[in-house]
Amino acid sequence: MRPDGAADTGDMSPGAIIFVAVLALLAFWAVAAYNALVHSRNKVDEAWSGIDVQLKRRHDLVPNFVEAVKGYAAHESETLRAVIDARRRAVDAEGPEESERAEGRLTGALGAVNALAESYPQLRAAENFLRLQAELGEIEDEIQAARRIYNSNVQAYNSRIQVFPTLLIAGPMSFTARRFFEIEVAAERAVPHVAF
Amino acid sequence: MSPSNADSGRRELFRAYLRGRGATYAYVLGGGAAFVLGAWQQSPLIMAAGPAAVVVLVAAVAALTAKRLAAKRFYARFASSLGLACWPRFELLPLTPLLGAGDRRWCEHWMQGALPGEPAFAGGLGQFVFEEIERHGEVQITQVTERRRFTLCVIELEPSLPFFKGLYVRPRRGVFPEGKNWIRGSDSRSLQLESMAFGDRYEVRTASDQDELVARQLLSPSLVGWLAEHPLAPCFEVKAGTLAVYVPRVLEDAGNLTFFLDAARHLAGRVLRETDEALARRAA
Repeated sequence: MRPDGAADTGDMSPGAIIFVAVLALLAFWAVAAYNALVHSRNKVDEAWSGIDVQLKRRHDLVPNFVEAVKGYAAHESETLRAVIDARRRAVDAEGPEESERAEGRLTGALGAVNALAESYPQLRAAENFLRLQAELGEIEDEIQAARRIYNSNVQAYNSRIQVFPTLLIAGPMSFTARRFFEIEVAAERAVPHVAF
Repeated sequence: MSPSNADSGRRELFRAYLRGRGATYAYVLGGGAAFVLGAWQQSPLIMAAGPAAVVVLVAAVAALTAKRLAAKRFYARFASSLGLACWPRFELLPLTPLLGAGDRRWCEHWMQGALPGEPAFAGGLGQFVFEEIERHGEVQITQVTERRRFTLCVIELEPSLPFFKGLYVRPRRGVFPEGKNWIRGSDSRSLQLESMAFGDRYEVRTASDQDELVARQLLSPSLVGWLAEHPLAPCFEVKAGTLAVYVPRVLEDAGNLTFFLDAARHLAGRVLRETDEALARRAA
């Protein structure tokens, strides 16, 4: 007890102690929120790498696919050149936006080759072609799955940076919204044709 | 008609037990004995409450017996519909961390044989229980400190043995985990995957000698997406040529058990396909 009878709380008044405690809590929250945002952003980047891996697998398969077709339909060189060209552009593409366009073109070109195969019964029956076609189908399924993972991560990240009170941290720390990755693959293009 | 779940027919069995000869003998002999004991002790309370306690006890025993018999009937019929043999109690070799978890463990209503579908996998399905035990005092009195129940499907995948030395996809434990960690003790490391939805639900650990590339090839985006969205949230462990698929709760109806079995078959197919691809890579 102090001589005047007041409780001795050291150098700080109760008000100051409460203020410091609130400040410490806010600091803890800010650190936790910032870390959560960084974690989310890293997950988005990781998911993009996942798509990249699958796209690279597709790029690696395309030359073999073209070679297999060339053996049976050599005079369809224009269609095959379009695939090679689209592949080159897809390999050179960087980032989701550019990749989206380039991969869309590659998908279109591969679709044209698949349509071409309809006119060549020997090609349709070739074991190597069928194997590569099946492999391409599997890779496209994986691309779709990787895209869903990426988009779900982007959605979680975008929601996190847009909701209160996290946006108070996200804005000043330059956490910007990411765009979704939309890519059309052969399976989506294959609309069943119904004739009456 | 086949029972649809482990509770089907329980009420009928309960009523039958209460009206049965055994229950009548118990009422008469037990109630009479309680009444006589009360008279001998000159206690009106025992004379009144004793027979009532006997009735309650008989009802409790009848309820328990009815529940057990209903479950036994359900699993026996479910197993026979799948062409599997059914054992009320079974013990499995501790080939994966979960199968070796706890101080003592067993399976209830174990259904074993060639699991239906193509390709035919050899394995079994049932309820897995493990207990943690503490021993006290000089006489070593045992006390069960934790009992966990799982629905488990074990599939033999011998060809996977050289490639899967230990891959464990388990429920995420979170900050305040429930129960003891049965993987922590073994020599394992964490494997991070890119999906946030998957990470919210699961955590992945691998044995220290597990080839990470093979593990990542198995956990491809399509499988990760499938696991993240599956309504049952199935977990699995692959080790020593054995795939153990489980959910950390008891599934007691034909619909969910069939769904769970389909999930286990799907996972077994993926492990087998990845094994074939790893073999092809090795051959190349």
